[in-house]
Amino acid sequence: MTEKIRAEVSKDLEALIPRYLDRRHKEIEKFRALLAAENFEQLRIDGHSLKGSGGGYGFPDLTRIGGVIETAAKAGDAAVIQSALTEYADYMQRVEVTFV
Amino acid sequence: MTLRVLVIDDSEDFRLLVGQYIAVEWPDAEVTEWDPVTQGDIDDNYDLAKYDVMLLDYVMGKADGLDWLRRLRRRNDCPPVIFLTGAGSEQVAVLALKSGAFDYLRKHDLSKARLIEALRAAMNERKAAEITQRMARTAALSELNRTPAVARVSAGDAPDAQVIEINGYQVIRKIGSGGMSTVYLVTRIEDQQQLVMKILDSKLCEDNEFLMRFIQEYGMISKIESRHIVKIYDQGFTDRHVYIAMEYFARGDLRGRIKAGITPEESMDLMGQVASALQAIHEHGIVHRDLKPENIMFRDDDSLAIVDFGIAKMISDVNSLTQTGHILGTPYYLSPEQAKGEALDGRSDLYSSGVMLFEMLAKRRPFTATTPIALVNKHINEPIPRLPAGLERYQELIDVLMAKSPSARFASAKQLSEYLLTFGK
Repeated sequence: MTEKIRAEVSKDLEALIPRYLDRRHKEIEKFRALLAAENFEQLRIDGHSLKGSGGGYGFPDLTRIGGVIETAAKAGDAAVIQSALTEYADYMQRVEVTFV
Repeated sequence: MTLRVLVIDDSEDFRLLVGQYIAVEWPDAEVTEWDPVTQGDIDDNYDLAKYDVMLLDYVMGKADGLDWLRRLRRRNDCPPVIFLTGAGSEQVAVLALKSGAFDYLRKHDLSKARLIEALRAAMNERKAAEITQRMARTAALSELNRTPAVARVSAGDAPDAQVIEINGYQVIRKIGSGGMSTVYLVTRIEDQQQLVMKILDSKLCEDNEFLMRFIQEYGMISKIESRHIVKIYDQGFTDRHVYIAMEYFARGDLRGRIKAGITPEESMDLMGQVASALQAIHEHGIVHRDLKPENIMFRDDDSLAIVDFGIAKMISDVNSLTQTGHILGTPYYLSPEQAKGEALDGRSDLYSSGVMLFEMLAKRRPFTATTPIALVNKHINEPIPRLPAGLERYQELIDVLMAKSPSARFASAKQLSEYLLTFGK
């Protein structure tokens, strides 16, 4: 059985979390499409957005992954982005939210 | 009062996050979201006055939040701005603060507590600005109505120690008075600390321009963190007085030092401290405009601080001031461009500091005349005087500082500081 990753999220944000996580799941597919199209500029912008929102919602790993995507997109480094997307997808499968 | 916040960020998730935190803390708050990617720029006709606080992101798609900040802060209706930065953007945060942001928040570790704290502080800033405006309006009304509260200490009566009553302070004695204010030595009752209290002359409370300038003095100086700038402890107003409580300097001013005798080495050390102070104020967009030995004060540890920003104005305001043809400043230390009523920047203060250095070294002022007009003409037209024999090594510095054209001076106080560090080495 895959080990869960526990994320502590403020109870104040409980109403927002389902939508936020749903958007993240969809975003992975969007990122993959952008990577396939070598649209690094949009990957940079969206990676930056993920970096900006993740930690604030209680998902610091998403901030880190977003930062990796942003930086790699600036460098046009598809391999690093691919690797980050794999980690992103894995994280989204395993994350378990606890409201505190 | 309902809090009204404008959130400018290209991330919908982040806008929602901020909105949620605000709604939890202030259920009645009105949060307006602005997506710069889909909505574009905020144009000049968009009313910003309806907001108490603005949250502004740094990287917004292809748009640069710093550019937005600089542009929006130039508007009179712009509320306090809290700038949003990402991880590793501390330098950007500093730039934002220098560009007029009230505060900054790091997005990646934003917490409700930090957001609310920043918003509360920004609201207080907004409230203070509103009070300032209200006071200006009140002053304008009193001009029409001549209310007894104002009349009691008006008509040229400088407030005296017996009349002054400000909660929390005890007046010890009157220190002096200037063109805009009377200055007292006071004791802050809570800790018995001696402070200087500057009280705007009541007659001038009826004058919007003077009132605004007096209040701006506090707002400008209190934002600067430099040991070479006077510390401001309090500012407020009563029914009858507008006041600023600030640091007391027991060891007098530079005028006294010059009279007592000062060596060239000491003069250069003091110039270094003056340059540091000027660097700090210029980086905040302030030109002092009235630098002179009387405005350089000494602490017990012998460090100096620049005081009396009574006629200092934000650089952006200078053009409009000079359009009126007013020449503010002491003619002995006036820069040529100031004398001509031209636009000023920090290099005008460098000229004044050069005049002070000349005076420290030569024990006399570079230009003197029997009338102010003749003195002003000398600043504009007369060659820079030579230092007395034995001081030739300082002449080059004087020549650069007192160059007639600002472009021939140091480009900044920072450059002057760097020059002084290497002087004679």
